[in-house]
Amino acid sequence: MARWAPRAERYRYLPAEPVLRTSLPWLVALTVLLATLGMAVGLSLVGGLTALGNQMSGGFTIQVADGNPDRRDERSQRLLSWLADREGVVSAARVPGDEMQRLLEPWLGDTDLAGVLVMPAMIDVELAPGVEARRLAAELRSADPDITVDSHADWFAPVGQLGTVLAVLAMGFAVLLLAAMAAIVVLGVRAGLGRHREALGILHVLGAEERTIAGLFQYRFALTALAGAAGGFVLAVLLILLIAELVGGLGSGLLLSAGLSPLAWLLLGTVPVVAVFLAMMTSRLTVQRALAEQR
Amino acid sequence: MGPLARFENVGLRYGTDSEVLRDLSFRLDRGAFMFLTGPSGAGKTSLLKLLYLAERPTRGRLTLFGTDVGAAAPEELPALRRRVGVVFQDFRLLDHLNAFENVALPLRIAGVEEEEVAAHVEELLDWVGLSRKRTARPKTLSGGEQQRLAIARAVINRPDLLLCDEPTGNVDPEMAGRLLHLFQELNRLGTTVVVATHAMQLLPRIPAATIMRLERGRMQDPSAYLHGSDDRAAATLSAAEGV
Ligand SMILES: Nc1ncnc2c1ncn2[C@@H]1O[C@H](COP(=O)(O)OP(=O)(O)OP(=O)(O)O)[C@@H](O)[C@H]1O
Ligand SMILES: [Mg+2]
Repeated sequence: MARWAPRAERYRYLPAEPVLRTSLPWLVALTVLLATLGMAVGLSLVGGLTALGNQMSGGFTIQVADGNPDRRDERSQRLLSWLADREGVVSAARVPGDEMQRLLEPWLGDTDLAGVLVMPAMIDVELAPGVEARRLAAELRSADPDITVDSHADWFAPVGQLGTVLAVLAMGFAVLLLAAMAAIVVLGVRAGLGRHREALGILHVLGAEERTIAGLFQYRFALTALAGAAGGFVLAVLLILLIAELVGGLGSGLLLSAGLSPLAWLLLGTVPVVAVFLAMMTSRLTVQRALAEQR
Repeated sequence: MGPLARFENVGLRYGTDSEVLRDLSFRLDRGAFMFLTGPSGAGKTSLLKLLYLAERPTRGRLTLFGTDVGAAAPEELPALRRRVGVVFQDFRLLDHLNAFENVALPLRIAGVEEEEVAAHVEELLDWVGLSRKRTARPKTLSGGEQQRLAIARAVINRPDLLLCDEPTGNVDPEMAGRLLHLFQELNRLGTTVVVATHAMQLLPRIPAATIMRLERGRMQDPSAYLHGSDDRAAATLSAAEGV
């Protein structure tokens, strides 16, 4: 018996039990596997949506509406040269007329618009990450008060909310699975107390402390949970890597290609740790309560 | 230093049944040797259970080692239990442990160092004649061997109080005599001994012993059982001289 095992285990206060032949380690493995996978899906969706949001929201579109096409072009040109000197502007370009024609075709048909309507000029501005679109837009407006500025961030706010909802759902899923596992640990401990009833009665009369007995169960359930959690987590990581490989192979996954950030991996790593800790505390408390009931 | 145990109007009931022990009032002096007799179902085992703190009085007051066990916090009880050795009627040895480990258990529970455990256990196994069975499982021992093993476990940590429930129940008369002699020896070394038994023929063998007779949970003839306990010095001396 390992040196770091508690005395009660080293001196076999209770008979050793082949834990791998019970269902508990497998149930812990399944719990950790599902909780880790669920969190991975949640986190990578969040990561993907955040990346998408950043990609799309780091810019704005300027509309210069002017009845006089020449003045419209002149104003646009002024804005473009003003933007060209700004730091943090990755690109600023006028949306070409034929592209605007193409964008409007579904509504207006293939009439030559330029001849019929005076279209506003549209300038797409892409900003470097971290540049504050709002301030730049304000500056632009003070330079030319008659323009309209549409920040892309406003359009993508719901995407950020969706990400938050998914993250909460993934966490909730993991928490529920862990709670179910804790309930199974309670049943396992109670069954163990029943199986060892006679030996426990003898230990009681010989003056063994309740915390010694609780510690013995805690140690056993921690080891069992550790074996299950390690197995379940390793399997989960392998599956995540495999799925990432497959998604990468498709070359499409805008969402999942963002992958899992180091922070996300850290969060996933807490799943087996929490599972083992939970099994330990649950078993200890269950034994303490059971012994307190019959003293 | 008061008596080892003091019963004051102690009553005991299991659940909602009627009382199995009623109005027990007596004191168990330190160093005493007491026989507990009475017909089957009289409450002998129940009285021992009170003394080894497997049950607590449902009425009255029991003071053990100066502690009121009814009022004691649950955390105080294990330490008190470790001062009591018990030989159960059915031995209650642990079947997953061998003879050595069974005897070592009370020392290990008390946190004694392993070297000391080994020395003590070997010595005691030798004393009860089980040295050669040290690695045997209880199930593979004869009734008498199991009994001696149970006694070795009960006395290994030099209890202040030794309780024996029908210790001569399933042994031949010769073995019964030897066991009694062993208890006397321990008593001489300072252990208070209580032996519950039907076997009336054992009583005369320890003339100094106090005899308490229970019938339907009550103490019979309280004056009679007090015989021999009013002069402790004489009692201890006669006990020391053996049967
Ligand atoms: N755990 C229990 N629950 C309910 N009743 C019990 C319990 N233990 C004992 N009793 C009852 O208490 C009474 C006294 O039992 P106890 O075992 O103390 O008698 P005893 O004098 O030791 O008998 P014996 O000589 O047969 O061993 C009996 O009527 C018995 O049925
Ligand atoms: Mg009995």
